[in-house]
Amino acid sequence: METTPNGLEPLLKTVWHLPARRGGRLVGTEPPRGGDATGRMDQCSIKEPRSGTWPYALLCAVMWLFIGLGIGPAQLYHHQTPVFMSGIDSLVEGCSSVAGGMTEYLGAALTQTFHRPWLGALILALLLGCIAMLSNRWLTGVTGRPHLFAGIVPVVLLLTLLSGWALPVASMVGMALALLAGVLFAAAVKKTTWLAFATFALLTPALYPATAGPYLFFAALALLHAVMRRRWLLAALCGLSGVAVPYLVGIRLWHCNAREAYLGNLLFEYDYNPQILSTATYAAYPLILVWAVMVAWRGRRNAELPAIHSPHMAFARAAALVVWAVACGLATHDARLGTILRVDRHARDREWEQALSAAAPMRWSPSTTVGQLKDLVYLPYLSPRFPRTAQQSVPLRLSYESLLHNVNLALQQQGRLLDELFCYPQVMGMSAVRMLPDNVGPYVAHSYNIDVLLHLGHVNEAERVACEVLANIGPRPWLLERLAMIYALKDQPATAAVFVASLARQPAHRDQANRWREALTADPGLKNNILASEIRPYMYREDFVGSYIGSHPDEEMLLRLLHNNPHNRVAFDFLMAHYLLNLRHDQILRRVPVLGEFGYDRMPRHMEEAVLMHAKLTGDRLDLRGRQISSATLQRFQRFDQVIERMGGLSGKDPRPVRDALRPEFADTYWFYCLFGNTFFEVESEQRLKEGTP
Amino acid sequence: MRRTCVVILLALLSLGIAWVVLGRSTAAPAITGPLTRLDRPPCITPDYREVVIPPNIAPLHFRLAEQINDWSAEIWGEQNVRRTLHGKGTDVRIPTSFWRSLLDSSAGGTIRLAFSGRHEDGGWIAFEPFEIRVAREPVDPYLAYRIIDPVFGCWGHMSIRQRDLTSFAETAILRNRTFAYDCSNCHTFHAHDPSRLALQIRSQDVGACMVVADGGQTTRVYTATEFNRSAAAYSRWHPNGRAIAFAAIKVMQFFHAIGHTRDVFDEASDLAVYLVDENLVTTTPAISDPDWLETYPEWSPDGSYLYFCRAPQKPVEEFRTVKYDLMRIAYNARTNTWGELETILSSADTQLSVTHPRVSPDGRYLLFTMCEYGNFSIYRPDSDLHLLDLTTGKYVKLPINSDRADSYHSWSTNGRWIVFSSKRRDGLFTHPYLSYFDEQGNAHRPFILPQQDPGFYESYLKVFNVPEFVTGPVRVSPNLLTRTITEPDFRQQAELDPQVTARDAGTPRDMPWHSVREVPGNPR
Repeated sequence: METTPNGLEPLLKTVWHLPARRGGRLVGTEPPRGGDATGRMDQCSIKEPRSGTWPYALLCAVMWLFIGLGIGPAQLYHHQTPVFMSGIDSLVEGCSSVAGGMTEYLGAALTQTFHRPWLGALILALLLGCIAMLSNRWLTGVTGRPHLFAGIVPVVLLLTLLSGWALPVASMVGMALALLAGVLFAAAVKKTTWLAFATFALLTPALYPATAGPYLFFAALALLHAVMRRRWLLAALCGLSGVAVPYLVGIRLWHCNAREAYLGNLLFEYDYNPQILSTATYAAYPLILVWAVMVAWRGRRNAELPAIHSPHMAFARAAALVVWAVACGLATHDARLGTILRVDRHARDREWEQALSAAAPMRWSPSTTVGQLKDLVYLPYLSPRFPRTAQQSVPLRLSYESLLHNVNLALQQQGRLLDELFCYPQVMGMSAVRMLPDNVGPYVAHSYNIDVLLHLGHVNEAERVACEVLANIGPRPWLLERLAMIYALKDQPATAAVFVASLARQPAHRDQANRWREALTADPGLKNNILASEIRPYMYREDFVGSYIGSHPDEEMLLRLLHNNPHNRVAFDFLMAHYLLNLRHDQILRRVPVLGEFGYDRMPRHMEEAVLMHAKLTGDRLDLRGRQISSATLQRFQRFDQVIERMGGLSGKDPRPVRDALRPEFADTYWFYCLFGNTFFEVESEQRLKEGTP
Repeated sequence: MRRTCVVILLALLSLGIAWVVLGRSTAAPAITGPLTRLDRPPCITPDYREVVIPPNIAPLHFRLAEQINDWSAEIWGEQNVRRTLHGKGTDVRIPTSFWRSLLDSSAGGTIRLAFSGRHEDGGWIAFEPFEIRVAREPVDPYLAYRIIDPVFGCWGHMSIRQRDLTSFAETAILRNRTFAYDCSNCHTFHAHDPSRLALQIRSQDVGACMVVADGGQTTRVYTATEFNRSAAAYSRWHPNGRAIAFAAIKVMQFFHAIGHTRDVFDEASDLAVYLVDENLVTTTPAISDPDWLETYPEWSPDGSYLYFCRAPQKPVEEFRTVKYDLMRIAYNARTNTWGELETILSSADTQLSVTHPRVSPDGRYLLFTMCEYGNFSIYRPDSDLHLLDLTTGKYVKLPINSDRADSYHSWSTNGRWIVFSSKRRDGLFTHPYLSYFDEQGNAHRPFILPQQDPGFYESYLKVFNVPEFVTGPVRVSPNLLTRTITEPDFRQQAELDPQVTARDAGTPRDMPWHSVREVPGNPR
């Protein structure tokens, strides 16, 4: 009662589990019989001090709100969507097929909860809280004193990773398991060296097969602990095991590659470049130990250890810590990837309007600055490591290309593609139809082609791409739905039913699967399904082999689809977009007379712009077969022309002043794209502009 | 506090155990209330009704495809072995011990199953009993097959596995994850002997090769020579166990706009034989004519003939007109000499294309597939199994076919069982079906390989490739096979028979299928 006013010592004891004070010194931290805070404390009969659980509860509660409101588990789920099948067979297969399989399986199981956002947020918050608590217990075990604040440092780093969408649940589970093993080891070390040896020997065969990479983390924790206790033989065993066990078990026995054996389920999996945060999270532990040693040394020199002065102070420090954690999370929140994820999620769900709303930050407006879009557009998310293996918890490697692909499809489905294509940052050289040409890039990228091929009516090609993606990234729920649709369209309801049954084995998608099942039972060919009835008229009626060396180019494919069904609006729109993006305004002009066959009662804006540009460049007199160009477009083109005239034209000059003069008013036009090779933002074109070759 | 936690945990654990135990209970639901009798047997899936099964097969678990909540079944065989079973839901799992006694007592006889089911409203319906016949002749105890996704161009995981047919145990012979997701295929056993197997590997790291396991010895043989630039495919052991016939093929794949999407065309294909002891690749112009496509080798049981399929070489645009004949050529293994070429079945007569010849162990029958064109019958929905009587030269289409692809068949050691791959369930996924082949040469209604989970095939997204009967488990470990594939010590380059003239290096080695690793942009 001497140092804590207001008689709060009992309260502090309760909430912090503080040992009784004697003469201003914590009983438990007093080094009896020659022990010290950092040295050989194994022979101490000390009562181990502990921190309480309420700061963790507070931390969990705040993180729950932050994750639920700020990050959004729905986006996280969409990003990660690890394959998870219920059932004993899947459990056994998941746990036994690869080192660390159990952790992966558990991570995938927990990720299912993200489908219910607040439950997912709670799971994540609990996992983070658990890691904080275990970190603290480990540090307490090693140094003999509670380190609530230091223990939360790794969690802050984890939260920043989560804010950047770079934290797989499996890695968190692995980390928690490794820390738990570290705490058990710490407890054993306190007893006898032989018990420590035995504990390490018992934990190793359990932990490595279950976690893979996190075992290394555990071995490192044990090594640090042994070094702190100056148990050199034990330290050597821990160090040697950390190197040898992954090699012997992972590489030799399980035939994993070195990365899987040593780094599987560590944080590096999603943390793309430069992996500073992941490294820092693990490095935090030895650094905290160094800090603890320094504090203890200072405390010994001052003959007194730092003490917690009051519960108010304790509360204030805990609150400050939580605020710090959330502030770090907020500061590092990757809103750009969040935008891409939102667009992608809505596009996968065919919520076109919502997808375009989510893509609003990309849409051009007169106030758009190049700088704003540079950041948004050039994202380094395509990882060279994809896919480590098929059917793992690999995330969607979203990129600007996928975003633009989604936007273009959403525009088409909303009937706005030929009016608003250039309202979004289009890049010359990109395909309007397929995100990537055949056999280029990671296969998850090809998954984007499935939807556009389906809408075009090229169902067999969609089937091919979908099956390729299935072989590569496993039965993701959205993929199973598409495969079910494909086979229903191909009048193979039994095949569709297999994919639906597989979907039903994913707990988060059981209801969805049941709806599919009912639909297929009542209507095997999905004749009454809106999407299927849109696609079915566009499907091929006569067989042909497009190419014997791969899938055929976009233009050829679209022309063939139009030949098959001259009213295929999707094919027409994408063909026009293809011509617009490739500056084929002559082809646009040729198609003006048939606009009515595709339900157009007026000429779309970009087609008007292309027609005017064609007339300007060729000097031809336009024959639009009764179609009119709107007065708004005509007037706008006159102004466009006047700006160029006023700037003295483009030939032989640095085009940048002209571009800058045109951008505020015309950056969303075909004319601007035609002259500068992009819409309104592109960085690469800077080089071309410098070279004077727009 | 800690004690409280332990108590709570124990309580939860007890509740969980109780739930599991009680939930799985098959306590007899009493047949009370109105009973309606139906004059038909129940619909079940997989459909095991009226099939003939071997006396050593694993229990046939199935699902009642009826609108019922509980079921009760009377199951009886010969010698008064009888039991009443009950269950909740629609899954029917017959206890293994009872199944064993049922089969033991009923070999050569019949098992009958009479089901009753309870509706949601509490009323019961009684179905007509159905029968399952039990043959006297057992099937080989193991089945080896490859498990892979329905691959179009790019694969991820694949594995060669073996299934104990007397139980549900399945183990991996080899997983491609252990050698960087490369391809392993065309596994073949010498006379169904699990200790002698050959399989083909196509790897980015070690190239295309044949792994030969002979007892405890394993080698990685490079069978590509100056004559055959392509490595081996569709290999088959000679009955003497000292030679392996194979096809060296150049394949391309293309896709249709409607109907069945995938199609395959051989641009070049020749046959050769790898002599194991001499480490030589040999051939003769009659089976490696550059103007003809020769493929799917198969030895007669006495080793005196090599059967194979042959078609004239044509440009790919004419793929629909490429139809294969069934051929054979005499072979003397002792002297390594070849006889005259004979046409056994001409596509001009059948108007169809012959693939996958497999001779029965007694040498009397030849089981083969015919489809409209080409040689990749598993991609052709019109593929059907046919049986040629080699003593009369007459062939028949077997009644076990479906309206979808039926292909990739194999005989059991005793010749009484056939296993084949069929897409009959859904048109995309191939599954192994077993059919009894009686002494009169009749194939009986086939049944799908039984699985522990009655709903296994309803959601399984992999295909079973190349099912082959084996007389026991393959004991060569996956670890040794992986080392054989990856380590330099196991490498062995086959020599070309000096009597065979080397060809220009014209035949490329590429295949249209590739691993995830080979896709540009993916990691190496």
